[in-house]
Amino acid sequence: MYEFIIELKNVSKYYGYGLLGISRFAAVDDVSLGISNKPLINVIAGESGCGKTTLARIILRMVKPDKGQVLFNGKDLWRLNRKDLDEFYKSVQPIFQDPYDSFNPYEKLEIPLLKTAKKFLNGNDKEIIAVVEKVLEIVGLSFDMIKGKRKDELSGGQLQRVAIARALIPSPKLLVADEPVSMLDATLRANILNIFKELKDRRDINILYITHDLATAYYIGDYIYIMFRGTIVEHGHIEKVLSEPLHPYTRTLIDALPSYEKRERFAKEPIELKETELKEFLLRGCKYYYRCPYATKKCFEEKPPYIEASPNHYVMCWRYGGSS
Amino acid sequence: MKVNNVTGGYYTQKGFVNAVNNAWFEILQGEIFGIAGESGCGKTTLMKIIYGYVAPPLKVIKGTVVLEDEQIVPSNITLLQKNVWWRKISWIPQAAQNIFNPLKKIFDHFEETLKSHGYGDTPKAELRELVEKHIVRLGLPKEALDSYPHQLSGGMKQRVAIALATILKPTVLLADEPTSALDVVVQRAILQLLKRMQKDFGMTIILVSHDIHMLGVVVDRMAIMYAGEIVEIGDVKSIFEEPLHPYTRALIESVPQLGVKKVIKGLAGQPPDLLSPPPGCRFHPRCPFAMDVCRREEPPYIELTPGRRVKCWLFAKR
Repeated sequence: MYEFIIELKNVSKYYGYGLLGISRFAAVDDVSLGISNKPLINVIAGESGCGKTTLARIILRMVKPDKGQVLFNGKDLWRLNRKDLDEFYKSVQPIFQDPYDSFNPYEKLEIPLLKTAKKFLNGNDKEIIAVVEKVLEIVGLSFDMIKGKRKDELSGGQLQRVAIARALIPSPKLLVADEPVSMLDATLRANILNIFKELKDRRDINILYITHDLATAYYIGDYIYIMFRGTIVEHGHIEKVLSEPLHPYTRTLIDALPSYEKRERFAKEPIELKETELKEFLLRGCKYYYRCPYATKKCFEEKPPYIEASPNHYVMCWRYGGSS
Repeated sequence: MKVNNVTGGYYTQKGFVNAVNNAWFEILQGEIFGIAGESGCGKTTLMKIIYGYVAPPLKVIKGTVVLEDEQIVPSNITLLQKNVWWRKISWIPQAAQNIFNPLKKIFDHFEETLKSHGYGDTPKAELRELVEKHIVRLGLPKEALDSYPHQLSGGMKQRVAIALATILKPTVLLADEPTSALDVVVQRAILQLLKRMQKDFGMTIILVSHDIHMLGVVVDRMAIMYAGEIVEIGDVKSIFEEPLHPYTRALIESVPQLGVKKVIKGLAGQPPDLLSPPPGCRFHPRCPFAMDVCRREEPPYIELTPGRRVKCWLFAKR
């Protein structure tokens, strides 16, 4: 078997802007990454407008990249034959941010689950219901709990669990979860995060967790990619990246996480926000140039190289070496 | 500012939704006071009542809100509009980035606000000077005044909205989830701005949020709300270092922290329907320490030390 279930090779996606949309900027800029077959939780973290959702859509085959290649089990995702494509739709399942948007308000909740099961599996009604019961059990619900109910009768946390159950029906290898807990209350979030952990540990499911929140990322993640304006600026084992961050942007993100212990420091080091998003996207060199306290002329002119600063800890920054 | 035993809610077709029940607290001059609670706990309703914006279907059944010598609840909206709002108390609503008229420049918003609040005869140049001074004092660029709203980023718009709300130097500023749609780095900038207004203008700020850790970095004292009730109140140090109410503990512990790999349980169940809240303590169905009395009787407010109150049977002397 190929080492990676999904592999991105120098993938870029451009969007138009301006009056007629003729000018373009790269929402995802030359990104390479591999999601291995081993069950792991990979995190893609970044703020709004960093390109993380576009990246998720590229992986889900919802958006076709303009440059570069996406490989599924080593084959080009956009040139799969029918059989491999079916295999892809079974193996890679999405989970979205707002569970209320994922279900039809007029339909009873068991209907989409049964439909999904019928679509992916062959079997009689009894077997199909058995599968649905099993996936609901995995997420801590039961068939009787949701039977006959519509989406507005469940809380956000329960509904998100139904969405996860639905995604589990075809026995996927990879779940792509884009901000799956950001709509939920703090006290309910932990339950969903624990389900993801359990899916990885007990059912060998790979999870790509896309989020803006480093704290929940740290709680469940194994590896992390930090994104900024379309590029991956740092990547490595989550413990290492978040305890010894190399890129100045990663440092800023960590410092801005509020917690009572940081109270004294939080009001100091005033944050200045000057440049616009678009201006940053269009930078030829390092996208962090305008905000970086260490920026030099070289950073403006040339894109920094991706450097392995310590084993398996990569950073895209001139401060860690590389020559032009 | 004093909030005395306020009970209020909404009349709907299904019955009365008791969104705020017996809220009772005072806010000290010049402090940042936080109100933490999850969605549907009644924190925005409480905010509306504190502001005096009581219009159907919202109704206040009992209680009063008093700001210095001004009666805010009960009162009437026209009167408040004339004398109190903007001058004494200002409100930054949720998603304040969207309050601007897209066809008008930022300065026009300031001009309009000033003109309708006693600056009707002031020449434009003077108004401009006044606004510029205010904006610069808050650490914002003057150029923002000549921009259209769409030219500014979300974080900048939010800060301009705060500047607009404070142009008449109100005594109290109400901020409802001022950072909920923003990135963490921008959030930090907004919180720094609020801190600065407290320090430089001696402004009293009431900050409402679902994120208790965000409140933890800026507020001086805070209240925790659950299902329409204030369950705990105290200074920020005691809330974080010795949380009393089981819900407060759950709220603090359920957010993962960097560097801590401990398993987080969260809470089972979900907040009650405020149409028919559970009998006794409203938290008892989810509480790990629930006793018999919690199911039968509503817990009293227990004042442990001055200003430190909790609404829980665990702390009652019997």
